[in-house]
Amino acid sequence: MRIFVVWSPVLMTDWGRPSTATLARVSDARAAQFWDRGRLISHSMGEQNRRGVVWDYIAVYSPGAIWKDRPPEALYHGGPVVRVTDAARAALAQALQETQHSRFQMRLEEGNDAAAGVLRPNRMSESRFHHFVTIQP
Amino acid sequence: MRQKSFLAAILSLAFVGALVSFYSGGQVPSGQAPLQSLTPQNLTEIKNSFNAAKNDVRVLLLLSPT
Repeated sequence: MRIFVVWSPVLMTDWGRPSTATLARVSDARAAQFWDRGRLISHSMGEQNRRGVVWDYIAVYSPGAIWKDRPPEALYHGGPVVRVTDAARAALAQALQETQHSRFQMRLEEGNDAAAGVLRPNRMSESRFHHFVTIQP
Repeated sequence: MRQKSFLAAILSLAFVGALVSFYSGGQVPSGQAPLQSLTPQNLTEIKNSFNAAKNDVRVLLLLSPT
């Protein structure tokens, strides 16, 4: 899992970059934090005027989602963050579970392929044997 | 008079400290990459980081510092 935290000036009191105490609110080492003074991300997500500012917002993306001109369609998105923590947590748990399941399936398929590779010589020889028996008479 | 000067000095220092704190920005917690300022020129960096982790679940948070 990766976390992207984008701090933007929205309120009257947002005079500058986030302080150490503010940045410490997200202490997870998997997080990358950004200061978006021009609210570029919000603009890319549709901010046209003051009412359209995208902030106090959380989005969960499943594996495979690609950011092109704007962030991709989210598996879950909502806000204000404090009111949607349960829903966001549930979406995150679901996404992580699906990822682990699909990775397990991939490993299982890789395992099956490896097993097939080991067995193939025997199958080949058996096939050749049948072919030999068939053409001999 | 002396007290007023002392108070003015304290307030000035506090004001300068606040300005430095607000405009220099803070330090991120240990283990994280330094805080990066987004500009139209480097906006692709967050996009590239996001896409580089395409095999993982990702969370995007848009927040206000205060």
